[in-house]
Amino acid sequence: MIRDWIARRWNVLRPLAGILSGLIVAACVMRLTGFQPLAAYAALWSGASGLEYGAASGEGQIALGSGHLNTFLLAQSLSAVTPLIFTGLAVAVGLRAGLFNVGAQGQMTMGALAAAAVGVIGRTGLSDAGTLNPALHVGLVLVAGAAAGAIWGIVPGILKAARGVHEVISTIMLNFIALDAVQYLVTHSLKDDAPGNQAAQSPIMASTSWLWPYVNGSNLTAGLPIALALLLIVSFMIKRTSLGYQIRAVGLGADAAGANGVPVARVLVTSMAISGAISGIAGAVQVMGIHHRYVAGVAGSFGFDGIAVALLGNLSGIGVLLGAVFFGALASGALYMQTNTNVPAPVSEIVQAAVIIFTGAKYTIAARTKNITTAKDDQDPGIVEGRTLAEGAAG
Amino acid sequence: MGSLANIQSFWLIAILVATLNGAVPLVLAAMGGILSERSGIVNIALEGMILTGAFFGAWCGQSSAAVGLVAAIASGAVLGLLHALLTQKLRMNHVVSGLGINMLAAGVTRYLSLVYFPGGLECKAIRPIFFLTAAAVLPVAVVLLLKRTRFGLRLRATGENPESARMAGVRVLPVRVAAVTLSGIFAALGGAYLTLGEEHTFSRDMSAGKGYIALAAVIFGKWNPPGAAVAALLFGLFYAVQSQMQIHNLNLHIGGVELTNPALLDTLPYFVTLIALVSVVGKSAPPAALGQEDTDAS
Amino acid sequence: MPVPSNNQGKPDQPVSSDIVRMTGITKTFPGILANDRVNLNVQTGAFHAVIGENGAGKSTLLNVLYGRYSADSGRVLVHDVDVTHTLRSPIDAIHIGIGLVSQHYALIPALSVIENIMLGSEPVKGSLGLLNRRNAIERVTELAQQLGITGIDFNDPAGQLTVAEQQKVEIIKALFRNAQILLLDEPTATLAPKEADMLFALLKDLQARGATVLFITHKLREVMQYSTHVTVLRTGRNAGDFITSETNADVLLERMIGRREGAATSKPSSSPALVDVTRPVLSIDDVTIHNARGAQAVSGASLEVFPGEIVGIAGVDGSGQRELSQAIVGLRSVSAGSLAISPSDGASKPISLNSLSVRQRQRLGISYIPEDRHHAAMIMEFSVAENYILGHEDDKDWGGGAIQSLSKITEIANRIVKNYDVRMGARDSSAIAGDLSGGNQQKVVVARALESKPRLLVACQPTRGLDTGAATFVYDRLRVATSHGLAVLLFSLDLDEVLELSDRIAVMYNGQIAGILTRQEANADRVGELMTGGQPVLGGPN
Repeated sequence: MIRDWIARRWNVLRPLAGILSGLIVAACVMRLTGFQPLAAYAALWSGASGLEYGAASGEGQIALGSGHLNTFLLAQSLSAVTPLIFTGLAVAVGLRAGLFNVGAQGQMTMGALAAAAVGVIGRTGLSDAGTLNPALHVGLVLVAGAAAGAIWGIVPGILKAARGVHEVISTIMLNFIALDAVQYLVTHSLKDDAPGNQAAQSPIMASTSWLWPYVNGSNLTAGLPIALALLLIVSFMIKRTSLGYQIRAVGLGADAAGANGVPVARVLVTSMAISGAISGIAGAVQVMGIHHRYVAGVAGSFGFDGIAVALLGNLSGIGVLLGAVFFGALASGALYMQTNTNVPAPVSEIVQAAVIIFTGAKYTIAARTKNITTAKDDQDPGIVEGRTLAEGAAG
Repeated sequence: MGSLANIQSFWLIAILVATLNGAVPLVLAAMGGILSERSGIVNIALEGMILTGAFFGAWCGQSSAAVGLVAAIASGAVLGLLHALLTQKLRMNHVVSGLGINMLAAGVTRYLSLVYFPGGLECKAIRPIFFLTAAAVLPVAVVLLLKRTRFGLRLRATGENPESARMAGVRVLPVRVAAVTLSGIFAALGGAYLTLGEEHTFSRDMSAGKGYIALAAVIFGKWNPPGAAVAALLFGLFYAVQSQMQIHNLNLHIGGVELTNPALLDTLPYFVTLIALVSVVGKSAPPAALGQEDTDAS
Repeated sequence: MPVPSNNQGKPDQPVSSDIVRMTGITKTFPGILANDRVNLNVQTGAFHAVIGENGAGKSTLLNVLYGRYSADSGRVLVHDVDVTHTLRSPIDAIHIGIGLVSQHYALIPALSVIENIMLGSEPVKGSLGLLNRRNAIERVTELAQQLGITGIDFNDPAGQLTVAEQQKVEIIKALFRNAQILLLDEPTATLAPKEADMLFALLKDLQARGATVLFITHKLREVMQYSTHVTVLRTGRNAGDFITSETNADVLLERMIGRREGAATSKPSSSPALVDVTRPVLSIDDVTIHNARGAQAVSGASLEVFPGEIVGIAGVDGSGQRELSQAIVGLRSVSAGSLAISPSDGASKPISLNSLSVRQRQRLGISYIPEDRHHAAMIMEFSVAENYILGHEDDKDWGGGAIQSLSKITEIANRIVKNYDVRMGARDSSAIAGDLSGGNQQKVVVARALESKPRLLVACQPTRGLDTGAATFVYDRLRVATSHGLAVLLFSLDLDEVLELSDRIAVMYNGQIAGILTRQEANADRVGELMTGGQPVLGGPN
């Protein structure tokens, strides 16, 4: 009975159990290293939610019961959520098609660079004033980011579909190539040649391409609504369109999809293009809203964090949103925790790793139920369209 | 004349030293990668294993380098064991498990170094020749292990087809656990080189993708120890050339692109691996059961 | 005369003469009762056959004895020792002297022959576990000499061996572990007749040296010619134990297939008058196809399929049927020759299929029932409704299209569920396909194939693993569709099924179409002869 109950709610219970386990592991680590986990988590919660003790004082603080809401902290938290929605969504789209896109990191980097390059259009001299219509410019920059990310995603998609090259390896390689290539570009042809600049960064973008903060001094911009809109669009695409159906079919049963006429290779490439485009937009939004130019580390570790988001969210739209909120708020809260309790912020990374490890065990359940053995000799990797997936898929 | 010859030989020696310097951790980790992957388990956790080995080697190597070495090896073994159990007992996707371990390693090492060594972590030194010898001996040892021992035969069989191995009377799980644990040990040894052998200090994220490059060497070497060692040397040479170019401020431009730029030279191992994946490495090269779930019939 | 059959072991037999006693073995897989209280007693030194149709539970029983499966209930005695609870893995089976010669994939192609042989029982020297390869080679060479096996280089990769050589190596492998009981799973399924005879000669030689041989097969000829004892299984149950010399093939056949309605007699079906023999729907012309490993799987095959007829393709497993069916639906390319379909609009020239995709062929009226239901026909995590539109996800009439109409998809799928009597408890077409029984899954697959209004249906093993009720349902639907002009190409390993359904039967042997028989010409003997390389026979409406 209890087993049934758990099994029916497993999609919800699994991530919750994973989160709980992750928090417990990190608490143990903190305890062992001489900190008070509860105090640390309380500070983390304040930082993540913006809910602080004490009376409201100063700008951006709204009295709330005995404490107050610090809108700046909340805005920073939400701004940390934004890129994770993008990259979580990107990884989820890939996984829907059965592809493990570890390359969101590189695709985001390329998107950021392309956005920075298109962002300078219309800017003259040293001022950041631009001549383009802001709406047009923002649109252009987003498209450029999406296109660059898509190209960086299509490459492993094609290598997979045409040559059976495992996407995990190829996307890891492309992550490094992206990082190095961009590093080269921002020290050469895309170098910021403002007087006195020594940093490896691109020139400042025209202000017509900026996204402006909602709360003064924070990083919360229109990036969040863009992310939410994209989340809705992609969720609809996956659930309701023929393309989304094909993506799911290829991910869950490439052989069956191929045998029933689904163009498996094309679907693989398309899903990687979509995944890359979403990552690219993530990069664009970061430079448009925060840095206003390409700077090293603009992609942070968002690409890898997106994997955690997608896995925790079980690839669903709402799951990705909740996963992004959790990990984004966690990372943002951890910084606040560090300044207020001296517990180092990387505790959030320990939580994240532990959550991945604990939720990853979901494959146990899925795998066990799937193991209704059919004769192995029926599998034939030579099938023309199914071929691409039969070659050593990592899971 | 003479001074020119001197400069040239100095150059060669410098490049040779730098090559070995760059290649040693790659060779060590790549040998670990081979053991894991030949047993059928994808190991992208090499990166985290290197980082952990480097950190614990430094931490425990503050007063005694030997203790540091042992600690590094132990930490690698623990991560290897974890990877084996996650993938084999919990049947976690190998890539998910590997990424999780890498994040764990990054998080734990950053956290601990901030807690205990906010001012930096310095450790005793082990002579690089020790690691160099290990890196020279290990490929041969791994070949012998794989080809000449009972464990090696069973390891290879397990990676090709665990079900066939089981039918022949091999207990698959212990073989794989041992292989991946050894893998962690070798990778951590590579990490220990970074701190104990080379830098004598730990800096965050100092593995800097070496685990992934080691994996690239494994693939480039078609999952064979000598091939992987050669690939690691080649990648080490890329590092060396790059650093020498930088030191001597050498530039080579073609069509406005500065080919000798360190960032561009950095991409060579990745490009080479991608090209190898597309062309040289045939589809038959990887162990047949690599990364696949072992559908245990019993 | 038959020995008393069914149920219970024979208490009057001396205990010591049985080397293996399996009693009341029951083994279930999700949705399948593979063995139902099966008994098997094998005398020491016997050449014992276990015979039955596909799905009779032979392999399961053998795998229980080899420790791969643990039985749900029942007892296993080997050498009069109760090993029911100690026989947990092949390792345990090897320890008590059981060796398995498996039909597929037992040898690892990337390892050398000698490595394959010694794997799991390696001779070692020293405490480091160094392989004593020389010792292994010596022992294996000696074994090979004793058995008269020549021409195998033990240092070659196993992947280079022919199937017949692989089997010899597997026998050596079993003997290398000092097996006294040799289990063989369909040992001749992929062998040419001459190779099969040589294999049995080798096994008889081993029997003469004291080994006990237990083999499973569905070929009566082998049983009658070589075995000393035979146990018949039917649908997972015992259907008789015999001493071979005291029985005959007819008795065994009857026990094997039971009394099946309509079997081997003429049956109600499409009236031949409807068959339009002037214009074939599908023309297969001198087609050559290569398999996944690049070997020629089908060579020079020609066949025409006409509207309103069922053409059965019979043959031993692996004779090229799979590749041919895949080539017709577009999953495998044709190396030479041509495939063509008649145009649907009555225009003159046939349309070449050679370069068309699966989807394009679907649009031209080709429908497909894949043989591997779990991997190729259905997506187990999808709902019934989602599975139903697989292949029609772009089709407005099915609720598909760039943006799909979920309500229409559900409505259509619910209707089909009703019409095809798909049973899945209280739920509707939103039920997950993997939760359905095999029979009900297949009904969805058949519904999808037939409701596509195809002109040609390529049906591969359409009733494999189904119970009689579901199989009959599938047969009826195929007959009805044929009577409306559908052309069916039926690929089946079940000879009775082919004989029962087909208007014409094409027999494949070794990648070629060995003969085409009309219903009147065809009978089990004649087809069986062709399946194993007998003389080609010409026939058919052309």
